[in-house]
Amino acid sequence: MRNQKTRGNTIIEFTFVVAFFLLPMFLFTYAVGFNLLQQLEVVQLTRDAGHLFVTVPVSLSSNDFQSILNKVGATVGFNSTPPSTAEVIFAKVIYVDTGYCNAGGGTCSNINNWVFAQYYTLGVAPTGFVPLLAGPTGVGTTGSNDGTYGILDQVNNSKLLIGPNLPGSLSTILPYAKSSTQGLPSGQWCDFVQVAATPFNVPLVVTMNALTDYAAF
Amino acid sequence: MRAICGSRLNQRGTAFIMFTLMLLTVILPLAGLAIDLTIMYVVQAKLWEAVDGAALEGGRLIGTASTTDLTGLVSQVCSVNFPPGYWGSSSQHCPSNAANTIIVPPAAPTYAYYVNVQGDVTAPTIFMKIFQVPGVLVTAAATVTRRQARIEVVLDRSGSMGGVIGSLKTQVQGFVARFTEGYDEMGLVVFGQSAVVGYPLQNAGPYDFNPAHHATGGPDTYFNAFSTGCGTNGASVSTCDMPYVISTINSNGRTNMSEAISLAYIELQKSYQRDLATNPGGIDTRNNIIILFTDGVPNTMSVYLNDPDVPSGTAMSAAVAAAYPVPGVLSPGNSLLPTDTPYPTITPVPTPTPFKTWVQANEDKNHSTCFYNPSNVKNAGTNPNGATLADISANQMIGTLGDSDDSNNSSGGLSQIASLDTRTYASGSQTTAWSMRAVAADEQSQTLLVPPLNVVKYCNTLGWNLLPANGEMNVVNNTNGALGKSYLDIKTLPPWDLYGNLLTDLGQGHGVSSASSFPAGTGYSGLITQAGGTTNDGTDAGNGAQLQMAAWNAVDQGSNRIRSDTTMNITFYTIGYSGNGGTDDVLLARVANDPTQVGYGCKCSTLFQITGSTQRQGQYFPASDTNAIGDAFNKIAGILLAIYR
Repeated sequence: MRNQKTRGNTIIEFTFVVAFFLLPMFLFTYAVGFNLLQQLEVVQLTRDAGHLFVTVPVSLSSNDFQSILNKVGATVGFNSTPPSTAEVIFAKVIYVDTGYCNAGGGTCSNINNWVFAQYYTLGVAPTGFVPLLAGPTGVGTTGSNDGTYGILDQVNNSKLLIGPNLPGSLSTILPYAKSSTQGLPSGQWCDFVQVAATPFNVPLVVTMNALTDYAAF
Repeated sequence: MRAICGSRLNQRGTAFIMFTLMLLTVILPLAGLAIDLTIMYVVQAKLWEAVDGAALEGGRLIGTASTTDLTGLVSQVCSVNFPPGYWGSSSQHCPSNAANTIIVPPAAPTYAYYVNVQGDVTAPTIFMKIFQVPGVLVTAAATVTRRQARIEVVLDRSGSMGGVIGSLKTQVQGFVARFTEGYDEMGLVVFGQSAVVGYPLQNAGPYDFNPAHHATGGPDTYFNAFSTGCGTNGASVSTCDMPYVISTINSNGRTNMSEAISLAYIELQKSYQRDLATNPGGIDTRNNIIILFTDGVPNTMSVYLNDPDVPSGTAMSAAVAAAYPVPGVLSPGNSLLPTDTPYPTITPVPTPTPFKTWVQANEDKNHSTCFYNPSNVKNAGTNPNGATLADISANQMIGTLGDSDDSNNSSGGLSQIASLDTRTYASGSQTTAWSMRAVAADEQSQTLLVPPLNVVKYCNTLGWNLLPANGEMNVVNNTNGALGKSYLDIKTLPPWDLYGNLLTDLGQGHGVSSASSFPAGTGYSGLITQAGGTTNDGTDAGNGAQLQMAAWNAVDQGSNRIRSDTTMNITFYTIGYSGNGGTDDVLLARVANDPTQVGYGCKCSTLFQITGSTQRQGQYFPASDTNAIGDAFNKIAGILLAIYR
């Protein structure tokens, strides 16, 4: 015999526990755990994409390159063409010092500045994602379909200009011309890869814009 | 009943209490441990990425800066890749000092540069702090190797390349730019009717026997030195760099592939010997590479038109003997370098055979081979008779044999080879005259003879022309004055070409097709059925089909001999552009000694490889369009740059 007054107490208690504690905790744990693992994958994708960018001399626009990248980035939902839940940005930056300026003809409006030698994106950027290196716009093509710009554009086209310093933490890399000791040699470039993936968001529990990572190679 | 009710009332809330206890003692610690471990892995992955990127950057830039500067740059890149305090980490060393970045210069046995980068950082903990674990030390390390390259690029500029020569030049210039000026060594050979060394320009030919010149020959590190294309190199020599020279290439002539790879071999040897003499410890640290691009099949070869070994007892024999077995190819006791290091042994060493002349002179068939003896230059215009058989015997003569397989085709036949001239190019004066066909004015005015090697010159018994508009030595039909069949002037094929490459079958090459034989030493005989069903007289040494097979074999034999050099261990990479009528996939796969050809869908198989050898295996890249040519060069660059973890 069960007391009529206490009948259903356990289920009510359990419901309260589930509704106000277990479920949010489960969702939180799942979201945090999933995003942690996704962050791990994003870091791995950045590393792999950087390896491909630096060591596999195939055009970024080629099917060969993109099919490999699609396989590598599948775990974060990356696909080089829509639909995709991630984006990979490839950038090659170079400092226009006197030596590089001379190589470009000797007259350089971009002298003593960092410029883009290449900027290429694949995939779809997550909502709210702001890239570390905002790409140039309206430059037009210079004979390449993978975002590569010729030396004349690099030394003269203001749309390729990044500035005298690289933004944020990237500015740690110094061009030799600006450093009295060590730095990137004249005429040499630095490759950057940034990856952004859509996170698993739970309203009121976990909300973020994007899982991101970048690296220089 | 009351007892029971009381008991139940006492149990109210026990599930919550039990769950709370379980949550605190089991679920939360487990979840916390999982989160801490995942954070640790994220931090470690990031650290791995950081040292990877830094090592790759350092590896790519080896040779462009001092070791100290590179060490500093590696540290900068590592700091970018692993920002301080990343995910709450602390005590970061990425790398902290030179001890964590080690750049190892080339040494035995690998002769490669190594860039070793190590990093460590303390990853934060959240839940494990409960157990007095404030952080976990994670480490990562990366190693990049980068071997110096010595590359001879060999480019086909034959007439059929006209439609794609512009695209090829752009792509090759891009290929050159991928290598590090001042670190890698690069050279250029260009071939059409004959081959010439395009870079370095000064003293580039194989026939300059002045030892002092050869110290500056061969691929060098100045190949991309000048922003304007030309300047003064480290040896204070006024010259032009390789991208500039490439920009001057025009298409013309036929396909003398065997001469091209032979010159490439000689050029590589020059640099190899030079580096042996100058490198500390007398070691050579470079990958020796020949990259051969062609759009066709070999159809021309450079040969002695007469037997250099039996010059009928003239004074020529001493000069020939000094350079024996083959001038221009380094051989025991015949080093081109001042050090006089015997190198290498030609295998197989050609066996002198007392042949007579390879060409016919003033013989029957109503044809006159009108060779001109340079010693009679002063009589030019007055002596319409050309050379006699005695003249030919008394002079060592060199020319190219082409597959003029139709009766009045002047595009093949006998031609003077371009590399005989002694060009000394001043800065910026490089011309597009890559062979003696379509000779430019500056080459015409230069000395074409390198004593004692006399060169046959064009003559026209009807309209005597000492300096023709091109370098052909074609023949004239006495009966009607038209250009005649060159093959009628070839008495027989020599056993080897000018560079000692046998013209006979190496195996899987082209050999005899019937019992009728050519003179000893040649592998050609019988009736040859050519494309279109035309049956040619296989017993005629000058027949186009025979010449083409000989040219094919010369390339096959020559590349095999080059790959057999176990001192330099040369690797071939070949690119065949099929858009101009087709290449010979089998030959190019054999030249590359490519074991993977089945994967490219061509007809090649292991049957066509040089089996059972320890020769270096390269790769053949079939290219059906200009984009594929670019991809092939890019892939080869990726292989040769050899930056890897």
